[in-house]
Amino acid sequence: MGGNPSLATYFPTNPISKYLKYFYTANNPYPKEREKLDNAKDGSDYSKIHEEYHARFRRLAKVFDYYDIFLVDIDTGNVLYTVKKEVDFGADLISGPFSDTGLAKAFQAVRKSRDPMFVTAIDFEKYKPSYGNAAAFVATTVFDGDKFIGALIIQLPPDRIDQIMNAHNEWEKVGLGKTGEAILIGPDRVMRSTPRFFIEDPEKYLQTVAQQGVSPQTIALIKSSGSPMLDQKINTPAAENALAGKTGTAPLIDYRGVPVLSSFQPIKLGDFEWGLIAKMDQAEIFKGVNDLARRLLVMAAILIPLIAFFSSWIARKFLTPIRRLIAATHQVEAGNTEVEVKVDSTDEFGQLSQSFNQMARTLTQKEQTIQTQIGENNRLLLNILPPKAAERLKNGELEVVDSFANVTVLFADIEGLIP
Amino acid sequence: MFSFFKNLSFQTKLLAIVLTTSLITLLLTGWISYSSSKNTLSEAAYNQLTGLRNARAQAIADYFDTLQHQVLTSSESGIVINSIKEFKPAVQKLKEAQLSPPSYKNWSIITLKSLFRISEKLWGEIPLLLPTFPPIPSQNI
Repeated sequence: MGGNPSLATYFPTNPISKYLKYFYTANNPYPKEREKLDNAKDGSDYSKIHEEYHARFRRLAKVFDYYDIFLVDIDTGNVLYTVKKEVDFGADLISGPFSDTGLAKAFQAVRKSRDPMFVTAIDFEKYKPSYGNAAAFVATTVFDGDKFIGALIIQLPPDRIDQIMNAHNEWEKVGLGKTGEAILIGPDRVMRSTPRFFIEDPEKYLQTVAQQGVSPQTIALIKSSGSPMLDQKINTPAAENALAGKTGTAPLIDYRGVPVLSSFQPIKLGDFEWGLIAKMDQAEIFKGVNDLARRLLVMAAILIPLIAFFSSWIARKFLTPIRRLIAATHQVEAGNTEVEVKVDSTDEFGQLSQSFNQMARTLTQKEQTIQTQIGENNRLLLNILPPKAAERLKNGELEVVDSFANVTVLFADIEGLIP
Repeated sequence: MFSFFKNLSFQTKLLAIVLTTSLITLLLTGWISYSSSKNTLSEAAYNQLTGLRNARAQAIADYFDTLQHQVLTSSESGIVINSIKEFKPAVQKLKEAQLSPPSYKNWSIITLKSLFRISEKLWGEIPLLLPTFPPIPSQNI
């Protein structure tokens, strides 16, 4: 129902409607509670019968929490009686301006069935005679013996549905936590119940959905009707699946643009099928584990420098014996074999240091042996050769040769010296 | 890559090894515990949501079932049958009474404000046409 209601809706065209509405709707002495009038005192048969039954129907509606009760003539489609006396009172449901309403749909379903046990429900819609408020209808046949005489139709307000879906606004008590909710969606994908977030904070809700691309017209409609029910479409995959008759669970981004976990299913009611979605914000569900992740990251941030410090300390500890060895080898390289590396462990580094020390000692001993050997050689050489020649031989002259200007060669042959 | 690693000093190598090993361990443990507890949590949440959903669906279905049974029962009660039976001829009589034809002279404009509380918010004040003079029947009703 858009912004321009047809005036014809409120303008009674048929004479019966005009007559009844004059006495029971327009000139009702209780303009705010029209159901209080038992007899319009117009002297008609209608008013006499009305007085007889009205109090009982009024009580019936009150006890069972019906918004309104309609009695409809099955042959003419005239609304014979209503409790509330809204503008649908006396209306013609077959051809009048009400013939496209939910009430007329209920009536048509009853008229077609002709079955004494027939009962049906008509989905919620914005019902003009109730000032555009949401209304659903439950309708059945009325038989007088074998004669099909009329239709009994009741009008339901959306309150009960909202109470069931929102658990009387006690979400936390039923386990919906701080962000959980259950919503109904009609076959047109439009909401059939009021979402929790709207009940909690309508202003914030409207802001949020406006950011999610809900049109300003829809926002205006929600504001004026006081609920997104029958105004706002839900296009999430959960809604799609539920309306396609599937049952399941899925993580998704909901109509507020918030990541949620959802569980969905279809419900078959009367002649229509709804989808039901229960969902909760992932932020709430995963609060514990997200805290854990945050703690882990903080711990990592603290641990990384600690580990770095520790490992560099370990490295230094490891390197000390190796540095000592390197220094010692440098000394050996320079000729000083009398070095000793301090050994303070028995691990591989300790073994290496030990064998290095051993090696250095062996080198020193060998050096000493060589020195002794050289002294020995010198002594022997000096015994054979004159010191001058020995010196020259030692200096590397292989052939010790001198030139002399005058040489006297003495040759003596001593007989018998060599046997 | 490896030659680059080879040219690093032993201290740097050791630092790199210890750091990578401990970080990998930390992140791996963290990730495993994060994802497994996330799985557990979402499973629990799905179970809870499905339970809630079923309860709501049952309640809604019961509500409509109860209503349908109530209405069906009422339709067989005397009050409904008798009232329809009696209203029908009374309304028929109104129809046959040849009420004065609709004339705009007999209608006045009443603003919705007094009658329609909610529509006022919806559409502002819209004139509502309702009869203010009683239609005069040509015969006794």
